[in-house]
Amino acid sequence: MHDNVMIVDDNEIDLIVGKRVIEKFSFARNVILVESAIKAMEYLEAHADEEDKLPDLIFLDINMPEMNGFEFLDAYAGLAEKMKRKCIIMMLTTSAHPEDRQRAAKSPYVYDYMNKPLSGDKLKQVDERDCENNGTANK
Amino acid sequence: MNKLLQHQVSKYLGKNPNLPEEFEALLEVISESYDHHERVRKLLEGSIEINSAEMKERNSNLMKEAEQENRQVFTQLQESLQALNESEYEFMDGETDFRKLSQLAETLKNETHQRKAAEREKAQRAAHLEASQKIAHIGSWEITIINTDDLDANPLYCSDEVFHIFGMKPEPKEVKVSLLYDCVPPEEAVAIQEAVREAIHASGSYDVEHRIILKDGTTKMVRERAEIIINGDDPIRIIGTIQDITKRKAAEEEIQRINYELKTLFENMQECFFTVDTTVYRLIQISPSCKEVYGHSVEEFMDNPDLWIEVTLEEDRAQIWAKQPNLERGESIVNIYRIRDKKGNIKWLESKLKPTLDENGKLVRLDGVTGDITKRKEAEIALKNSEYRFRSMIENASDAILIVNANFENTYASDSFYRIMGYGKDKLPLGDYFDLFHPEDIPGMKKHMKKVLKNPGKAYKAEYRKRKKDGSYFWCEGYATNLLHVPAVNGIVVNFRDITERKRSEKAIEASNEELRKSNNELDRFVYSVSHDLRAPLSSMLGIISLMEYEDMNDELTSDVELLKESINKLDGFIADILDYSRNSRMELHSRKIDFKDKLEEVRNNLKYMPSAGKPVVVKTNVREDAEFYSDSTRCTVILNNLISNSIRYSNPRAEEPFVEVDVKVNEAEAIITIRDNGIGIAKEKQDRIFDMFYRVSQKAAGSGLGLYIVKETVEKLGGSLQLESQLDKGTCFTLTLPNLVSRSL
Repeated sequence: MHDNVMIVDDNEIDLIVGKRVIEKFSFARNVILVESAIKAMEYLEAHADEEDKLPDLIFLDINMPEMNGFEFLDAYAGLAEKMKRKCIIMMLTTSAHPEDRQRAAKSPYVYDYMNKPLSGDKLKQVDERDCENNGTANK
Repeated sequence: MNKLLQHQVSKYLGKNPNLPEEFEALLEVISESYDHHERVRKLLEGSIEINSAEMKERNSNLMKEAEQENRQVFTQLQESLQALNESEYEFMDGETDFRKLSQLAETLKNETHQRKAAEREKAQRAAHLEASQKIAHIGSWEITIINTDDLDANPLYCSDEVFHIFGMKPEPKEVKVSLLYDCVPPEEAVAIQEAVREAIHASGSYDVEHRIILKDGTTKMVRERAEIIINGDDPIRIIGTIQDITKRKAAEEEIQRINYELKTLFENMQECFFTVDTTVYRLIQISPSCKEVYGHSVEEFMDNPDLWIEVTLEEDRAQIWAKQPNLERGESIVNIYRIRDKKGNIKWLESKLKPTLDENGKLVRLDGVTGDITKRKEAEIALKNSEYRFRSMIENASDAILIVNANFENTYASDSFYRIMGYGKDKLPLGDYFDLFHPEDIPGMKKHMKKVLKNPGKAYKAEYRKRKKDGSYFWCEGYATNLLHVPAVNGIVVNFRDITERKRSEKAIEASNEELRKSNNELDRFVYSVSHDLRAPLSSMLGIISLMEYEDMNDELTSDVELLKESINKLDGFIADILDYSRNSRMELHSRKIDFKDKLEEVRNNLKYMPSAGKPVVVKTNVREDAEFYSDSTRCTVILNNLISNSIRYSNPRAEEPFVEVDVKVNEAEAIITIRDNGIGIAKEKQDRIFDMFYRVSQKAAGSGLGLYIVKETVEKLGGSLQLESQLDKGTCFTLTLPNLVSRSL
């Protein structure tokens, strides 16, 4: 079970669905919902030194106003290594654009790419993926 | 008077001549002495008769002595004569015939005379013979056969010329046969021996030609002729001549060769020769080749002296008659005209005529030769036409054409050049090539022309601005080719055209292309954001539905939610298809390396949560890549996504182990991908329509009716092909062939 999971999405319903699914399947103790990438960055910067407040998993949407998911990833690159090491980013989007998928795959911080909506199966997939990577990049 | 005298006097002076006294006295004296003489004579005669017996005896003794002497002389004479003449004179024994003796002496004298003359003549003849032999290169020889076993034992006499022919010094005495015989080449000696034997035993003569090889190595050709003389039991003599015919032989061969050449020439001569007697206007002769030239025979020409002009085309006759005065002045002429030959073909002929005038200046004879020049003429006409064609092409071309020499001076300018440059008919003098260029373009053009000059035969393109007569500049596109090495051109050929219009339209096209690209991008972004904006709420709805599914609901509600979910999925798939379609039709191909294992993994992931009709469908993949494969990655994904998702969507609900098996084989030329499933299959009658837009086989399944249409379009875009094999309730197999776009990726 994850400690803190953050969902970054401008769509309010998706935030709610995400929170409900995570709670339903007891995927995390605490779900942090932010409705924009800018707010997500602000949160991360604000709690940079409070390890218990930082997310160990971020579900990141791509299409968002002001700062989209990729721009967030660029900004994220500038954060402290210590924080990044702890955190996994999953792309969670409706985008069927192959370029988005390719672009996401190129980012060193993105663990996986999945289409909305979030579901119990997909959460399971994240855990499987996490286990796969445990022995390698994450540690 | 003495009677005799009396008689003489009366004969000359009459019967009773009146003679002077002194004369009569003289006559008296003469008469007396005459009478006296007569008397003496009578006395003498008487005394001779008295002494005749005595005389007879003495005479007889004298004669006997004389006879004795004569006999000796005679014998001597006879011996001489015998020696001279080889003939015998009968000595008449006992006959003391002095006349015979004198006759004999006379004969002897004559014989001697004749002999001297003969000797003289013989000497003369010998000299003459010698000279003639020398001149004629004929030597004579004589051989007496004494010993048939040893040839050298037989004496051989040769004239000087024989030695000359054999390249030896003349020897006056006899020589050995072998001296000369050894000069005959062995291979020819046999034939000569055979000829000699034949002559001796049968024919009596021989005549052979053979070679002799001289000591100095010279080879000569000689002719040997000989007669066999058999004289009773005498040894056989062979008298012969030998003639040096080397030169004659060579000359003969030369003549033969010339004759042969002449013969060949005449036989192959295609011209027809003829002679006309103009005084009576009659054809004296015409060569048989008239058949080739005119198609008419010699006889036909002989029968009809006007035939030659009758076959001439009417429009060409006048020019022939026009030259008649020249002939009458004795000038040779050439006529070129057309005829219709016997078969009716039009031919071009060329006749060369040479007139002969008599002492009064009247035309008496024409000699001529007529040849068929149709081919030449046709070639000339073709050349003329093509030259005319090219000239008019150049003059009327929209391209201006200049020929420039190695110093970059214009040596030729086409009419089109002046037209394009705005000079119209006022031609300006040819000048430096770099005049009339835009000053900014001159340095570049000088470099360009230097390159052209260095690479003969190669065409170089350039774009530059030229100045018109009115001072305005316009854009040109030109090609320059160095043809200085081609004698007919001897220059750099430059052709250029005004591309102002093209430049303008190019710019317009560029602008509209840019616009198009922009709107295309906008459209792409629009489709993308629309699809996103449409799909985002759908996925939200699906999220909520999945939340609802976690709650306890009654059956009715559960089925309603399921229907709702189905509809939303269908709508979502439809939007995704439209997006794919729109992207495929507008996006350019981006070829890059494709790893089919990764690609299939990606597709498998995409379809992970796709609901199947019955039990979950197992996706099996089998990839064999013998070469790197290049294609458009996105489009490949679209194709595989659609085909594999179809297999899942239309899986057999009753199947125990529904599967889709993807087999990929890659080689350097192509990728062959088979996608086989054990799904519900497609009925034969529907197979033709499944690639149609919005066609759906089944109402039940949640397809948009776009999937296979998009697959077909996308496969076409990639230059591939797609085959379908399907049996209802058994399964479907698609065979997809995609070309390896290796070269495009470079």
